[in-house]
Formats: sequence, C-alpha cells, structure tokens
Amino acid sequence: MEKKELVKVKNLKVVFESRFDRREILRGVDFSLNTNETVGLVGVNGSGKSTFAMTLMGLLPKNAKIVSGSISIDGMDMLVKSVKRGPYDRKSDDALINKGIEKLRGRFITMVTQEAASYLDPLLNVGYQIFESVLFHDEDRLIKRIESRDALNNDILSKYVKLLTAKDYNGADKFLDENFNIYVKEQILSIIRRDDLTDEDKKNLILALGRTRLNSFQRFIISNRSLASKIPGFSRILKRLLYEEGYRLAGEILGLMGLDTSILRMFPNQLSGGMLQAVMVASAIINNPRVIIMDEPASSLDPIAQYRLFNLLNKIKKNFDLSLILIAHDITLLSRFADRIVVIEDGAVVEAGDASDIINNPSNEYTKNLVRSVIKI
Amino acid sequence: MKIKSDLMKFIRNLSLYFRIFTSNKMHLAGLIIILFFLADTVVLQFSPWLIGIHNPNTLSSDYNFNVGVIQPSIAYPFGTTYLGINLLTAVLKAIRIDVLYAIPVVILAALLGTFVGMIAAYLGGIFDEILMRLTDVFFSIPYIVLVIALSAAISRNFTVISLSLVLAFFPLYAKYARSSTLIIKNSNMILSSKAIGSSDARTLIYHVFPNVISASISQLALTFGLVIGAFATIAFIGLAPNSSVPELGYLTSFGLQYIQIAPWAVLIPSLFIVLLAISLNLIGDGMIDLLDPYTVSIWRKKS
Amino acid sequence: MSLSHYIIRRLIIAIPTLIGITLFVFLLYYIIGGLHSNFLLAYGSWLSSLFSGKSQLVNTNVYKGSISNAITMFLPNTLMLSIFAAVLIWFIGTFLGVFSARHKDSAIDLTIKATSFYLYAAPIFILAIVLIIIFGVYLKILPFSGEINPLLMVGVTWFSDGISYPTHVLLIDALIHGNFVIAWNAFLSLLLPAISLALAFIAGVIIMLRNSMISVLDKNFISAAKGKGLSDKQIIKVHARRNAIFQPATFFAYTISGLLSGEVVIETIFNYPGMGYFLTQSLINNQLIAVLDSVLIFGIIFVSATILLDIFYAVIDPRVRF
Repeated sequence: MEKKELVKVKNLKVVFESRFDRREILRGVDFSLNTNETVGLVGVNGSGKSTFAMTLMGLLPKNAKIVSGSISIDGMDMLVKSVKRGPYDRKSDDALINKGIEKLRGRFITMVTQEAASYLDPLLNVGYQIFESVLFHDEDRLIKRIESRDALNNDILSKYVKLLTAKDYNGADKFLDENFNIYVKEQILSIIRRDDLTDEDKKNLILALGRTRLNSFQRFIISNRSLASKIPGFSRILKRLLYEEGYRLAGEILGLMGLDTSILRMFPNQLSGGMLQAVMVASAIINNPRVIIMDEPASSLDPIAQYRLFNLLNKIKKNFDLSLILIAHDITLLSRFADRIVVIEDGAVVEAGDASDIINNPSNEYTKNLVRSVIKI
Repeated sequence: MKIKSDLMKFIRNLSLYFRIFTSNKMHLAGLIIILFFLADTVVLQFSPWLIGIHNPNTLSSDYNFNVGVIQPSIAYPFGTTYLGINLLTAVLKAIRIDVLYAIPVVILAALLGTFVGMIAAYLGGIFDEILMRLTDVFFSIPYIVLVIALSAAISRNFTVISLSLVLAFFPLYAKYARSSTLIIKNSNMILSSKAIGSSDARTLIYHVFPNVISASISQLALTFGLVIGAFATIAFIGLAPNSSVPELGYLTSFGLQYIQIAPWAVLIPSLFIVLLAISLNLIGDGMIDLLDPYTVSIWRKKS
Repeated sequence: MSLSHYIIRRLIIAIPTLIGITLFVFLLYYIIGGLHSNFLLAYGSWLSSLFSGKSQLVNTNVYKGSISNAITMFLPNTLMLSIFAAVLIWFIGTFLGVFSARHKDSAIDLTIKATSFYLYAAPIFILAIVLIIIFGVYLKILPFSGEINPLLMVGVTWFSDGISYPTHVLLIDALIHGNFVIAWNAFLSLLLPAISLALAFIAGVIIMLRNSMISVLDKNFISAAKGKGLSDKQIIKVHARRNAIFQPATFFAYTISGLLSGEVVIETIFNYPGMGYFLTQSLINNQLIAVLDSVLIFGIIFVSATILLDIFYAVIDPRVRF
C-alpha cells in the first residue's frame, strides 16, 4: 500500500475569544498523519490537545476562531475564509473555518470523545446511535447485506463450514473470497473474529446466516425502494428492514469488541460510563473510516475495559486500512500503541518523532517530565 | 450572622441589578410605562382634583347626553364614547380601578401560594400530598370558570371576583415555593442551622423564606399582567356586576358596539390594556434576566 | 416499568385531583342550597345522581332544556374548537419555533420574537377584537359569529334540535354526509375563533421552543451528531426536535387551563355554541346548577388533557419509563 499523507496540518493557530479576553490555544501547530499509522498526541491537561482534535473535525465552539494555518486531509484543503458575520461582531470576521470537513465527517474521519455520556442523545437507544451514520451515509451497504444474505446458497455455506471444521484455514479463506461477495464476507468474518464464542457457536452462527430469508413482499419493497420510500405504509416497512439490519450490524461491531448485544435497545441512562464509551467507539468504527481521532479514550475506563479497547484497536488496525490519532496524557500508553508521538505544550509542538525515540531519549524538558511522571509498575 | 449578611449582599447588589435591568431598553420602557400607570393611580387615589377628575369611582358623572359621540379633538383628546363619556377621564379612572384591584390579588396570591408551598415541602409526607392535591384542584380549573363558579355560588361582586382570582393564581406560587423549599430542605443549610439549635419556625423564616422569594419575584410582574388581563376579560364578557364602574375591559366592550362609527372608543381602552400587559411582561422578563447568574457575573466583571 | 404501567399509574394519580374537583364543586352547591343536611350524605347522593344521568332543566334565553342535552349539544363543539386550536398551535408553533432558532438573530427571527412577545402578553379578547375588526369588518371575509345560519339547516335529516349526528360536531358530520356547503360554512365559522384562541399560545410555544432549541443545539450530543457527518436537517429532525420539545410541552401543561379560560372568552365573544358559552349564559341567567355542572366538565377536560400530555412525555422520553 502506498504511503500517503492523510492529514497534514501546518502552522495552525486557534484562539478563544469572549467579550473580555482572548486566549491563544494553539500557537502554530504542525502535524501529519500517514496511512496505516498511529500518531499519539500527548501533553498535560489544557495544552490544547482536545482543541486540536475539535479543529480537525470542524467542531469548535462558537467563541473559538481559527486564525491562520492550513489543514489538508487526503490531499484536499479544508480551511476557507469565513464570510458570515456573526451577530455580535462589529467588523467582519477575519477567521478561517473548517468547511471542507463537512463532507468527510462520519465517512472518512470520525472521532471518539472523552466523556461519552453527554455525547449521546438521551432519548434514543444506543443501537440506533451506533448505526446511525451507516444509515445516513451508506444505506446501500445495509441493503446489499440484506440482499446478499437473502441470496445465500445454503449448500455453499455448509461446504465453507466443513472447511473450517477441517481446520483448512487457507482453503477456507480462498473459498470465502471466491464464493461470497464482500457483504457476506463481512458478516462471516465478523463472526469469526469474535473472541467470546466457541468454534461450535461460530459455525452455527455462520450457518444461521443462510436461514434468514425475506418474504416476497419485503423483496419487492427493497428492489423498488426509491418508490417505496414515498408511499407511507411501505416506507415504514422499508425503514423497519433497514433498522433491523442496522441493529444487526451494530451487534456485529459490539461482538467484535467483546460485548453483549443485549445493550442495543437500551438507553444511555441505563448504561455505565464504560459501556457508553464502548458505544461511542462502535459508532466511530462502524462506517469503516480511514482516520479515527480518539480523545483520551481510556480515561473513564477501568483497566480491563482499557485492555479490551486497545486490543480492539489493534485488531482493527490489522484488518482495516486505518490510521489513528490517539490523544492522551499518559505517554507510556502511547508508547505501546503509537508509531509516532507528538508532544504538545501550551499550544505548541515541542517535540515530535518516532515513539521509541521520544520515550527513550526525550530531548525536551517537558517531555522528560511526562515520561518521568508515569509510575512504573 | 448569616441573615444580616444576606441582606447586606442584597442591598449592595441593588445598584448592579438596576443597571442590568435598565441596560435593556425594552425593559426600561416597560418600567417607565408602569410608573406612569402607578402615578395615575396615586394621583387619582389621593388628589384626583389635580387633573380635574371628581368622581374617580364611577363613570356616571361623565355622562353627558348633550355631547354624543365625538372624534378625538382638542377638547376631548381621546374623543367620547356612547353617553358622551369623555374617554380620557374614563380611561384614567379605569387605570386606577384596574391597578387597585389587581395589586391585592397579586400580593395575596403570592403570599398564600408561597406559604402553602413552603409548608407542604417542609412538612412533607401526607401533608405535602394533601396540600398539593388541593392546590392542583384550583390549578386545574380555568380562572374564568372559577370566577364564574364562585360568583354563582356566593354573589356577583368585585370582592368575590378578586377572591376567586387569588384562588386561581396562587397554585403557581405554591409550586415554585415548594420546589425551592425542597431543594433547600435537602441541602446542608438547614442541617447546619438545626445543628446550631435554632427552632423549626426560625429556620423557616430566616433561611427558607428569602431563597424562596427570589424565584417568585420575577413571577409577580407577570402575574400582575395576568390579573389585570383577567379583570379586563371578566368585565368585557359582562360578568362584572356594576355597569358604571370604570374598568378598561368594560370600556372596551362598551365601545365595541359602536365600532363602525367610533373605532377610537374600542381601540383606545384596548391600547391601554395592551400597554399595561406588555409593560408588565417586559418588567417580568427583565427580572428573569436578573436571576440568571451568568449574566450577573458578566456585568459584575465589567464594573 | 413499561408504557402501560406508566399510563395506569398516571391515571391513578389523576383520581384524587378529580375527586377534589368534584368536592369543590359540590361544596359550592352546598353553599347555594343552604348548609342543611349532612355534607357527606349529600355529596354521595349527588355523585350517584351524576352517574345516573341528569334530568335537571336549565332555562336561559338562548337555550331551554335538560342539562345533559345541553352538554351533548355544546361539548363536542368545544372539543372541536380546542382540537383545531391545538393543531394550529402545534404545527405553526413548532415550525416557527424551530425556524426562529435556526436563523437565530436574523431579521425574521427578531420579527418573530417581537411579535410573539406582544401576542403573548396581550389578553385574549383583544386579539379576538383585532381579528374581528380586520377580517370581519374591513375585509368582510369571515363571519364573526360562531353560529351557523339556521336557514342552511332546513331540510337536513341528520340535524335536529341543534344536535348533529353521528358525531355531534357539525363540521365532521357535514363531511360524513357529504354536504360540503354546510361543511364549508362550519369551517369558516370555526376559523376565526380557533385562530384567536390559538394565537397567544402559538406565541408562547414559539418563545419556549426557540429557547429550548437554542440550548439543545448547544449540547454535546449535537456536536457528536455533526461529527458523524449528519446533515443539519437530519440532526434537527432526529435529535434536536425530540430533545427540545420538553420545555414547550411543560409550558403547554401549565397553560392548558389558560387555554380553557380563553376558550370560554372566545366562545362568548363569537357566540360560538360551546361549553364556555353555555357557562357564561348560565351565569348571566342565574342557572346555578348548569354553571356547576359545566365547571365539573371543564375540570374533567383539564385532567384528561394533562394525562394525555404526561403520556406524550412518557412516549418520547425513555428516562421517565426506566
């Protein structure tokens, strides 16, 4: 795979402005992220890490302004001059806004925030909130999954399972590629990759894929869905089918994370902080983005959940073409997962380089303090 | 002691509050309009002859059968309505009547409601339930219906109407008072004062009451507007007992009959009702702004 | 607990309030009739007479007959008016409220805000007068009486003694029977009263919804939804609306009794044949029993409306149920 610069940030300056004062949060930050790379962003609280993430995502609050700099994602420039005059501004705004990101959010790049509870809609169940971005951006994927499952040939499926039982993994892989389309493949692989099931269970689940058929009415609606969406009764059936598939897909992701699918229909107020964090992670990965920004994902998790999370990240990195921006204040965490580390102090980058270099030979005083401050077990 | 310092804080804050209030031109306008209405009330109450009015309590002295209905002119700035009543004097008298009847209603409703709410919350348990259900009964009956019911049962006069309005409007204060008291009750303030050893009554008066008041204060202006509107409405539909008492709603209904030939007879009293209601709402709005701690802190920083 | 549990619980809680209302009404009866007999006994017998149907008569200058007949005649009209007004309030109010919040501080937003403020502050009958003047007197489009021209009703089989069948609501029955002339007239005479009634509350909903929307749009989960790349339209439809509806709904709960009061006023001004009109007419003609029975009806309407609102809450907000 060719190495490409996915994210390139140059000299980014962001200020927070209220009626009485103006604070520089980012003072000329340079940053880059390549394909299949994990970059860690580390610094103490208040150093500007979260603001950086928000700027990349175009989610800065109203009183924050991008003063100067450039952001290019996948080769395209993101920042444009802001032309809208705010109602309280006396003169026109000289700031830049991250307009280009609007088309990429949720598809190319997603974000997991620190504290999940307030970032989830309290009135909708978590399952929906996980598959919402697939429903919005990639409804076709859901449709194709339904259709290809409906068209599965049970004989071929059992032949595949026989190969698995015989532990002929190479043969099974080849068989998989030759006989199933990517949508079925995706569903089969997500079963296989789960840690929490026995082989027997996995085989049964795979076979079960071939047993869910649509009735002819449902098939009709799916094949004529642009028409069906306009007729009130039919659109409801279509919606139901899509939602069911969405829950299924969300369940697969949760299974991949080692979690029980029973939480899908629950509401945020019924779940613990760790679970909610997992929900946010699931919603970030479900649409197969190229870049995921994780802002202190482990801070509200217990050690086991943390382990699970990073395990999952590794699994995903291996299987998907994914780059990560990991934001943390614990530098040793990054040392295990990041390829490169960027150290940020008070809104400016003080050191950047390969992870091992930074940890073992920190050249900057600030970095040294960060390394030293971690208690070694 | 705590109570005195709360009072001191309040007085020191007054000038700040005044400045916040007056900074918004609309709120200020509301205040000025109300001051005009209050001035009218005071003058007519104590020395009506100053502006040439001699019988502030009745319209019959204004009947002037020779004059008939006249357009607004220099002699009659607001024109006249049926029976030759000079609209200017009629409106000025009516303002006083409306304000004077509304003030005790608002005060009584606020006091009764706050009292009931505080007691309910403080006592808790079954007393709370009973008091709240009782309050709900009056809350669920629309105020007009209540007025009509009590007028039917007892008698149709202004006292009964006022009392029914008190019953109609006190539940809101009861709810506010109850929720404020509950918050305080469960907080540490009461526990610490009880630890010192002050009695229940003392705790209630000195600690609970001041905090409860602040929530209700902003409601006062709004309720005032509602009550005046209620009086006007009641008079307008014809439920008011006496047909020669000057009242803005009554004047409006009076003028409505001749709307084709004398539109000013309807529009002018209505205008004053609207002015009264709007200015009170503006004041109420302004006071809500005062409660918002964020705005207050920004202003404090500025000074 | 599930939805049905919640509904049952809610109904049970409503009973003491209803009992309280009946007690209060009966207290008034007691006072009118003189304080002779045992209060509880009289209360009991009065309650049972309620359930067995009324045969007391009422005598006003517009209506003579039994009270229960009056109720069948007038109550459906009141309900029709309320529902029409409620529909107006909901659709216009929510639309303008969301619109106003999205285009915050624009010229339209400021106009809407200012107009809403004045509409909300002014007493209801003033709005009614203004509308009558504009539409009834100057433009002469709409009738300013709620009553249907009796000449229209000549020869109509499904209408007798002022009551239309089967639903007792003239507009609906006319539509059912296919008589569009009557239906159109019924609609026109419904229009002005409903608009006058609804206007003040539309304004209230707009103000509340606007504030609520603005604070919801500031919340974190809206940023999260943006982070997922959802369109503005999608965000408002799926997330913002639902979360923002609580404040206006609470406001509405507090103003239901105001709406019913307004109903009485509007019916009286427009001579619209509904319960409110019946109430005022009964009072003016000193038909005290009719007055108190109507009061009871209003209490029941209010309690039912509150229950419906609470159920609405529970449906939308899972936090209430779990």
